[in-house]
Amino acid sequence: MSFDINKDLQASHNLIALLEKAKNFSEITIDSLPIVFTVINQDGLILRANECLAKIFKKNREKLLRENLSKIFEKETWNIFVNKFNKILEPGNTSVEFELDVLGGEGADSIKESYYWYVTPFGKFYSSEGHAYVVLGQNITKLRESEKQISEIFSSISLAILTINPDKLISPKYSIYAEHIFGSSEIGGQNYKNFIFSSGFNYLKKNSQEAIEKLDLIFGESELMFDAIKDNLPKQIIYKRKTLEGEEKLYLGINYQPIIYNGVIKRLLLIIEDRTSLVKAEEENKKIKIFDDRVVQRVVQIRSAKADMMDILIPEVDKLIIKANDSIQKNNWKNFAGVLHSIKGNSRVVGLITMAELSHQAEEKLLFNIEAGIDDFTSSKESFIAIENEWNEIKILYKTFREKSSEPTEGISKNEKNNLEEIQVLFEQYNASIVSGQTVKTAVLSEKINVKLQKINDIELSTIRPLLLERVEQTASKLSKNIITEFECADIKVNKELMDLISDVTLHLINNSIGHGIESVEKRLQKGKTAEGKIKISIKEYRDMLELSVSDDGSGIDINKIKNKIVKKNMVKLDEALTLSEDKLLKYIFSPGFSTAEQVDDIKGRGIGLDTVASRVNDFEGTIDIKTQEGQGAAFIIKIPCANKKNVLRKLFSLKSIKANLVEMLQLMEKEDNLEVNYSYLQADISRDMGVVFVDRAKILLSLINYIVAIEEKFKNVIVSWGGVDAGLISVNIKHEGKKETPGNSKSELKYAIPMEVSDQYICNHGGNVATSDHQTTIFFGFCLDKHVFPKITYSCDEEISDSEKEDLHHFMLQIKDEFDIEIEFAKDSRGGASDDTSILFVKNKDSSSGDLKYENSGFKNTCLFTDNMLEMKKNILDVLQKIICIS
Amino acid sequence: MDDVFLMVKDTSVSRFKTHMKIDEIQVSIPANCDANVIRSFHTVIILISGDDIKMTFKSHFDSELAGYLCAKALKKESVSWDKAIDFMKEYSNVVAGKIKKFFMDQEVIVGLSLPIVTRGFDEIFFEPPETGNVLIDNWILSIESNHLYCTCIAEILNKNRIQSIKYPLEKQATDESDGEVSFL
Repeated sequence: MSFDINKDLQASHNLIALLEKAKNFSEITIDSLPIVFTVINQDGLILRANECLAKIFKKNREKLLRENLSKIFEKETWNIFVNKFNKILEPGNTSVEFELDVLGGEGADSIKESYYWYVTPFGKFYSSEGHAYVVLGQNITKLRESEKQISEIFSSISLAILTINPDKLISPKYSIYAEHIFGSSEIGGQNYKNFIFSSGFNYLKKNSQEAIEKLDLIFGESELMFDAIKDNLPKQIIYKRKTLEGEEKLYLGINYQPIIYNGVIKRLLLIIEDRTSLVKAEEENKKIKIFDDRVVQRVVQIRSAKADMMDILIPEVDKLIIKANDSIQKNNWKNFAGVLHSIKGNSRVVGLITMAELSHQAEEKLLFNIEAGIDDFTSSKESFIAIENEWNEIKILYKTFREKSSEPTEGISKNEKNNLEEIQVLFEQYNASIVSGQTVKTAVLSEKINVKLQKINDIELSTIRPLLLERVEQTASKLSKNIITEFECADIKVNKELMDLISDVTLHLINNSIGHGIESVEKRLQKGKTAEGKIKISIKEYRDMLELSVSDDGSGIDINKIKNKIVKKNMVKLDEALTLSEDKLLKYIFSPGFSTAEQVDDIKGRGIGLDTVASRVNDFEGTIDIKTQEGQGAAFIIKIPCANKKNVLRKLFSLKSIKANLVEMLQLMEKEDNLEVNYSYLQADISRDMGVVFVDRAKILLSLINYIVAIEEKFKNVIVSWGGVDAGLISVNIKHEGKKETPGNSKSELKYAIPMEVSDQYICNHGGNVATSDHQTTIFFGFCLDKHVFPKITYSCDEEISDSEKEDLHHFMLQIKDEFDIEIEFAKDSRGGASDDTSILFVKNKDSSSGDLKYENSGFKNTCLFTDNMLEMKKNILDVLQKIICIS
Repeated sequence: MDDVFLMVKDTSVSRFKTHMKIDEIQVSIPANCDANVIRSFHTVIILISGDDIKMTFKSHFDSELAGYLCAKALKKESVSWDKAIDFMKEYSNVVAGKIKKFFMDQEVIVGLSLPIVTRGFDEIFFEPPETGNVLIDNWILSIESNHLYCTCIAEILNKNRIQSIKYPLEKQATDESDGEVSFL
């Protein structure tokens, strides 16, 4: 029994030893906790402390028994601690949590650290020590420092960072900068919609407004709810900030970020940026850009304008500006409109597009107001201020360019000077005619000015000589050939386009000649020729044509080689090639890709030189001929119209329109110059409309009009009559007081009566004649009208064309019929007219027509297309008519 | 009961002298003699318990004191914490052993627990039973400025029996001559 008891005791002792050990470990664990663990009594005396608290005290923890916890706090802080501590004593409180700083260490070494305290009663134990309380303390110094740093960062970030809580109120914790942006320190607790969005709500687009309205619904919902509206939420809003002076409009950029917890949106983070200065800068930049664009345009236009033209224009426009101001002063708005028209015209002539545009807009608006009877011309005055400012800017810029320009202002030729003076005179007349509303005279003078201007820009043809000679030298050197060049050139001026053509073509031909034609020195000597080859370049003027000839004394063109080549290239069959004449064979060398050179090099070419030459000459409506003699040489002769027909207006003139111009002009002259006009002849002849007049005949008549305009100053009592016979004879009788100097030969007398270019070139050369007597000059010429030249035109409309468009077309075609006296008929059946007719089908969509091909079988020879642009289509019709009616 | 407490006190003194191999120690009374007052960081508790009496003998010390006393007793510069604790536990053990012998000589049957070392803080859990028969005695054994707190809490279960115990005076004198204590 005692043995059993001993064993039991032993067992109990073992258990006790284990429990002791376990307890010891628990104690070590508590001692080494990284937070303060202490038990104090109600007097603040420490009953137990762990290592963490001992470190704060800087004492051995075993010595902390009955130390007062207050020692690690500053006095005021300890009072707060006590206050907080005492709350535990209040009913219902089981613990308190608060943040308080402690003083680590003693004296000079002490540093403040932030701690977060948790105090709670230590169970229901009561000993002689009194009630015990557990105090836990977490060192949050580093956390607070990080928070402070973040807070400093947030404070220095110029962003308003706000959170919106589920109550739709702005949280009291926001970045400091928010107060600056919103101009208020009372941001927390405000309803976010009212505070942030209401002042600029009406500026938002409708979908943005709706998205804002729906923003309240996202709280407590999944992120999908936010995703559904986020694209429509405004990225930028207007906010009206109250200031001392009133209100200030701000542009705020907003970024929305939902804060999600457990899959549900708990709060909304708004990051707001003040973009006002950026928006304003962008607006300024736009203005500057517009301004810069305008300045650039101004510079480009001024630089493009000839300096001499500007010198002429400036005083003219200055006068017009004065006139305009005068008209405004006197409320003479019609006059003002005339001046604007004049400024527009002047500006256009020189190329000052902006100035012309401004004037045009101002003129249009003014005329509208006048016609509408609107008595308010404020906008016109304002527009004129803009025009005046623009003009002043132009003058300043131009002056600057002139001062900095190295363009010589001296040394212009006498001819050029004369031209400029003439242009100045014409300008004055032109302006006067605009102001007085003489539209015909204005048109005529405008054309004269254009012609004069073109002449200023024309280039002396002889200036091409150095370029050509240099090319000969270079090419000869490369091919080791000796070449002597002869160059002769007409003493004329041509425009730049023609100059470029002549230059390009001649250079090609030179290459060709030296490369293909002229033999090497050895070969030449073998053939008994001189060592030096000869190239002759000649440019002559003959009857409105330029004749360019490049010839050499080389080997000539090998016709057989051409024959072989074209057969080899399958251009023709062999038997056909054998029958071709030399002329026809020679033409093949202008075919693309045709080259008889055994080797391709940059001199002899790949056969692309001559076809390019042919193409360029063709563009200018010129011709190329080749003369060749085997062993002797070859010559390329190119004829190009001098007055580039491409630039000549090709117009259809009806007698009616020309007569109308003449009548108008005569009526003006009658009114202004007290001329006696005998209309009886005129009246009688007006009815004799003979159809269409050919262009060059029309030129004669236009020149005549010009002449009449010109002579009105020299002669008085001009009477013009218009005669005609059935065959088509026009006679113009001009009675005048001017005395001819010598009777007799009409041609010699013409120069006193009519400008030479009119008489010689047009009238006499085209079968006209001039008879003159003391008081009358009669010009008459005939033309043959062959109605067969003018086929009947049948037209129809594609089904896509609407009824209103058809009506517009019919009306237009009737006008043409009336104006040009051409037989035109509408074919309801869109299968074209009779075989002799010229058929036009009006088709709406270019793509759907597939061109002529589609309608060829239906009998339409021409197809007029338009893509919803009736105006352009009408222009196209006139082009088609030109082709149909064969203008010479 | 005074005799019993006297006996316990004398035993603690004599054993202390023997333990420490010193002749002179001071015995004093602490200012606060209440029960379950935290006296020091560590406490060794031993229970002497029988049908007639339950007695707890506690010695209160901190690590430094234990280390000092043990080193002094062993004539060493320093000792490990475990040795120091063992020293204190043994001290309590020999004191309790002596007390038990006394009781056994008085035909009061008691048994001894193991000495347990615990934190002084645990004192607040050791509320004495409210039977009205609990008596507490506190004293301090001091060597110079080193103080060992001792507590004896006795719950009298058989008043008549315990009251009959006499602690003869001659015993008080001979206690000092007890033999050496051996460590466990």
